[in-house]
Amino acid sequence: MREELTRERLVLLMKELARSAPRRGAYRVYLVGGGTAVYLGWRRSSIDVDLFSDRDVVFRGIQEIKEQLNINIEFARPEDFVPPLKGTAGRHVFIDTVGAITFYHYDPCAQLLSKVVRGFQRDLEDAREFIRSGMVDPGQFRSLVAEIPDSAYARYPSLSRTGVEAAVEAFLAQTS
Amino acid sequence: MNPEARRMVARKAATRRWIRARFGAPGFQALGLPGGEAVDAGLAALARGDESIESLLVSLAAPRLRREGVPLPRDVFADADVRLYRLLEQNGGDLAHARYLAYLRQAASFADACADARVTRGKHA
Repeated sequence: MREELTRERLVLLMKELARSAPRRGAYRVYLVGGGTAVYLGWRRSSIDVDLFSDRDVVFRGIQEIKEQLNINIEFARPEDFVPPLKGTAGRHVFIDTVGAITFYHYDPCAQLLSKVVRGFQRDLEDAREFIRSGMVDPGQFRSLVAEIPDSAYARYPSLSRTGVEAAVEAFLAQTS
Repeated sequence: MNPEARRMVARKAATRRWIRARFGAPGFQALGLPGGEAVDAGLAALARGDESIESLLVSLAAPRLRREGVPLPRDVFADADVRLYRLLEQNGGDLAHARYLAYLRQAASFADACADARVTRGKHA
């Protein structure tokens, strides 16, 4: 039986990733979803942690680490599910540097959009925390969503601009 | 038939009427929506108060499914994601996480298709 991801296990995961990363070079690893929520104390645990890096080699020891820590790991980022937001690269939130890896929370606006669009129980709980904590400004978030070009939706045939914007407005109305 | 069984039958009938009014069929499987069979099973299990893979799936996706017009009872299972994962783990061991993620994708896919089914129906109405 796998253990739920707690903050303690998440910190261990960060250390183990740094230990197993190639010695040369510098890497960036991003926490997404449950990882962000657990690290920031919004909830005590998560079923899994979502990770992203633009350099896959940093995850070369992931199978061993997964078994060692007895946790579930998935590779995912918001753009796997929703169109990219303008300026995401500049909004990642620094967490810590461990060895050769610098850890970030993935762009909170992108995470929020992904959660609002999917809209499951846990998603909306986390989504409210993004606003409550001040990590996301509702006005900025609304503008970023409105700025998504039509061409970006072409890569997400299951989504529509109307549906996404309606979900965002409904969510912001509930949280204001 | 005892009163609880009567209430259960009434809830199922009301659900079918609601789905027919919104989507034009008595159930989601009949509409050919991806994951429709699981959602139909989940709604039926929720009407009975049964905790199952399908009723937990519907519960964890409840806010989104309501948004898409799926008739859900007021009370669904709390912490449904954790309960679903633990249930899958009992049967699937090491594959539980992969199956859990597959169920989440199925529920999201259903909700996306559901939105489209309603819009499409509205456009043709």
